[in-house]
This record gives sequence, C-alpha cells and structure tokens, in this order.
Amino acid sequence: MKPKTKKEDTLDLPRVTVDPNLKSHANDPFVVRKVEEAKRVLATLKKPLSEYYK
Amino acid sequence: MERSTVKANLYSFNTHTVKEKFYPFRVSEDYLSYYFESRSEERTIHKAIELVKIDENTYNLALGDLGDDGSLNDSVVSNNGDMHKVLATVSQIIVTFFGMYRDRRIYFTGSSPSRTRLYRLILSREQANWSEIFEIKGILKGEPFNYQSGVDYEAFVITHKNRDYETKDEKGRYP
Repeated sequence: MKPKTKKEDTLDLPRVTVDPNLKSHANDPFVVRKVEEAKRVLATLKKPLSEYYK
Repeated sequence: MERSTVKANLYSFNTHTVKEKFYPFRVSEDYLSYYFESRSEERTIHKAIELVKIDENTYNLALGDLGDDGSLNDSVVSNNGDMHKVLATVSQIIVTFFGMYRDRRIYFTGSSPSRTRLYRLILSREQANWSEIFEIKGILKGEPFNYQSGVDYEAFVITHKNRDYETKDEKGRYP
C-alpha cells in the first residue's frame, strides 16, 4: 500500500517542459567517447553490474 | 513549437532534501535529452545532459556545455558562480529520468581524473542531501561499492531509492 504523505513533505515539482524539438546530443563526439569509456569500465567489472543489485 | 508538459508527483520526496532552487529545464519526448540555462549577471551558459543506454538497465549520463557549434562538451570549467543551483538542476533531472525509467541505473564519471575527483568531492559534501533520495555506488578496481567519502572511485552508479512515485503527462497517461 502506498504510504500516505503529508502535503508539506511532498515536493511539488515544477511542470517539466517536454520539447519535441529538443536536439539529441547522443551522437556528439564527447558523448560517444563517454559512452565508449563507460562500456569499457563496465566490461572490466568482475561480474555484470546487475548482479550487484540483486 | 508544440510543447506538452508533465508533472511528476514524488511520494516521500521530502522538501528538506532539496534546499537549492533549480533552473527550469526542457526534456525531449524520450526523456533522454535535457537542456537548461545557467545564468549569472555576466553570462548565460547553455547546458545539456544526455543519457545513453550502455547496458540493459544502465544509462550513461553526460553533462556539459553547448559550444558555439551546438555540440556538447565538458572540456570547460564554467565557473558561473551557480554550482549549487546547477547541481540541484541535475538532481531534478535525474529524478525526472527515474520517473520515466523506473528501476534503471545511471552511470557517470568525469571526463578526466580531476573532474571525477571534483564530482567525488561534491558527492561527499552533498551526501546528506542525496542519500535520502539516491543510492550511489562507486566503482573501484572492477567492483561497485556503496559510496563512502574519501575513496577515489573511478566512476559512480546511481539508483533511485524511492520507486514509489508516478509520472503522468497532462492527460494522466503513463508514458
């Protein structure tokens, strides 16, 4: 069951603006490099990352 | 420009954990690209965050400034005097991401050892704030460990502690 939350304890986030025209930077060289580095680090883990969250 | 809005209702997200005001931000429809402006009296810096899937449940977070050519990079130390507000904005963006990608993880590291060290110092200083919301592991020598101050981690992995929240769009749909 979902815990009851007092109104004053609930963060009322501002409305997040979804912009369909927002440009993705997934293919920018900096991001591509970061992704490759991240995959390299994850590949060096002694076991898959998901195993550490079981 | 057609825009829609969503409102994230976070249960048990105590206001005391978010002391800093944050910048308004825009997000792409897939909730993987974010944009906000860091503002000071001297200048406005265009900032972006890109999340890219790197394994089944993990996304790499890249934070940087948009250069004159419109590309993202983090080679420059902005020094715009608003680091806390920028960090609060990043924190809000991470919460927004987790609202859409439940049970996923975010991987991040600096683009250089000194930048990673800076992130570690910030995480240690802000631990009282984020520890109620996020679980952070530090990767060291091929293994992730629960975050501890003073350890020179190579990278960090964030998960959201409180998964009991909902994100709906203006029509009450769960994207």
